[in-house]
Parts: sequence; C-alpha cells; structure tokens
Amino acid sequence: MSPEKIEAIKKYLSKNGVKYYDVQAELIDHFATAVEKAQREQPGIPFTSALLAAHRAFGGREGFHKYIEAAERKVQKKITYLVGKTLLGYLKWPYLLFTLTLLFSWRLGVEHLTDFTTPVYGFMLVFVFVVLFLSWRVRKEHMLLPKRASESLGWVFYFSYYLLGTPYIFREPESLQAINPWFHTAVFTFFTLLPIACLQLPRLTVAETRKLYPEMS
Amino acid sequence: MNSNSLLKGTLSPIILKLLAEQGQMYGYQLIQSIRERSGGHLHIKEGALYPALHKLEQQGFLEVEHRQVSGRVRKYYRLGAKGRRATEDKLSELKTFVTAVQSILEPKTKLS
Repeated sequence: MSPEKIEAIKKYLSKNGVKYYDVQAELIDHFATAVEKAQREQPGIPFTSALLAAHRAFGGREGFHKYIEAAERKVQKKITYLVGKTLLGYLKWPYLLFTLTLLFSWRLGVEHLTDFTTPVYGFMLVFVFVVLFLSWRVRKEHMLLPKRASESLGWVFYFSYYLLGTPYIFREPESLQAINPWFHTAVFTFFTLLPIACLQLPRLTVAETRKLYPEMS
Repeated sequence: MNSNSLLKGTLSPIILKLLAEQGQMYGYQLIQSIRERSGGHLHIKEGALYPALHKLEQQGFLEVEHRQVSGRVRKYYRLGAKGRRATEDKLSELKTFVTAVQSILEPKTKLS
C-alpha cells in the first residue's frame, strides 16, 4: 500500500479518536490489511469505500471506543509499574545513600517541627506543580502512555497526599507529637521521594513507547 | 452466530488455541482464521478481538513482536511460557462447559 494511503488511514483513525501512535500502529495495519483484502476480492472498489467497510466490520465508533478503553487500562498499569519501580529504585545502591540522607534530615527536622500543617500543604503544592510540569513536558509527544501519565497521577495524589496528609491537617499538633517521630520521618521522606519519582515519568514513558515502536525515533 | 455474550467467554481459549497451532499471528489474521474455521458462523466484531488480545498480553499469556511490513508496523502475537501452560487448562475448561451445555440442550433419553 502506498504511503499516501497509509497516511489517509492514519488521518481517518485520528478523526475517530484514535490519536496517538502507540494505539494507532496496530489499527493502521488492521485497516490497511482489510482494505488490501477488499481491493483484491473486488478489484474496482474505491479506497474510501473499502475503508468505510473496514470501519463497519470493526464495530464502528463503539469498536474504536472498546479498543481505546483496553489500551487505557494497559497504560494505567504500566504507569503504576513505572512509578513503583522508580520508588523501589531509591532503596538500591547508590540511590539508597540519597534516601538515607533524606531520611535522617527529616528525622532531625521532625524534632523541631511544631506545626505539621505547613509542610503537608507544601508537599501537596509541589506535587500539583510536578503534574503540571509533566503535562507540559509531554505536550508535543504523539504517544498515549506519556500523555496519560500526568492524568493518572490523580490517584497518587488522592491515596498518598490526601489520605495520608489529611490527618496532619486536622489533628491537634499535640496528638501528632505524641506519635513516634520515626513515623513522621518515614511519611515525609515518602512525600519527598514520590514527586521526585514522578519527575522521571516523562523520560521513562517516552523511552518505553520508543522501545516498542523504534521507528518513532 | 452474532451473540456477543455467547462469544465473550470463548474468545480467549479460541485465540490461545489458534496461536498454539500457528505459532504466531497478527490481529487481522486471527479474525480471518476464526471466521474461516467456524465456517463463517462466528462473527466477532473486529474491535472486540483486540481488547481480548491485549488482556491476554497483560496477563502474561502472550508475547508480542513488532515487524515492519509494507511500510507499516505489524504486531505479531505468540504464546509465552505462561500462555502455553494456560492453553490446555482453558481448552479443557471450555470443552467441559460445552459438554455440560450440550447435555442440558440434548439430554440422553434413559431407557427404563
């Protein structure tokens, strides 16, 4: 099939919501193969008619929707895996040195903290900026995985900063100081490492997609 | 046969069986193969095959290879080690199910 026709299939898919390369690639081949088969079996059939017939056989818009939904689930899992793997990486040499330095710095800091609210608000704010940076960093990438990475971090914010951070905001400072300081140290170290790990996401997600589709580079 | 609900549970074992026989296949080839081997009776909406393939890939049953074919990328699927082990189980599960349904639909008459 000529590059012009492949380009036309690509445009058709984009118009129907299949925008990014990592979800388009397999469908481009599917539609191109379906069109080629139709043109072999009915030699006079125009390209557009064959393409529309392939779209109907695929299940129309609903077919695309199902395809994208499945791809999104795959992407979510990949992002969770990448964040988890990066965080675990901070427990390995030589990054462990950085984690330990951070841990002992927070241990000293927690000793002198009388107000826990301000640092927790600070962590939340930093994380929001990280998500904004992530969206900006991947704005020109034609790939689903990096594009979804920033959106997927909503749950990270909710489960980590909101659920774990809210008690710090609403509980009395005296009751917080009664808790073992190593607990606060561990929480604050985690709150610091998490945005640092997320900052790696644009690089990791782009590399992951390029590994699968080297022709993109 | 167009009933999606009937096909839903059987699609994964069918995919695994075909891949076990053919070694490796791409999406469109699988669709055509299912259609031909069922004598045209199984009409899967093509859009439904890919989510099933992606799910099997996520579960670690399938391995994937991308190849350049006529100016485009083609994604080939093949069984991984976990997939080869699962194929037998899934097929015997499906056969048991089909036999059970058949015994309900066509009960053997008992001679008293």
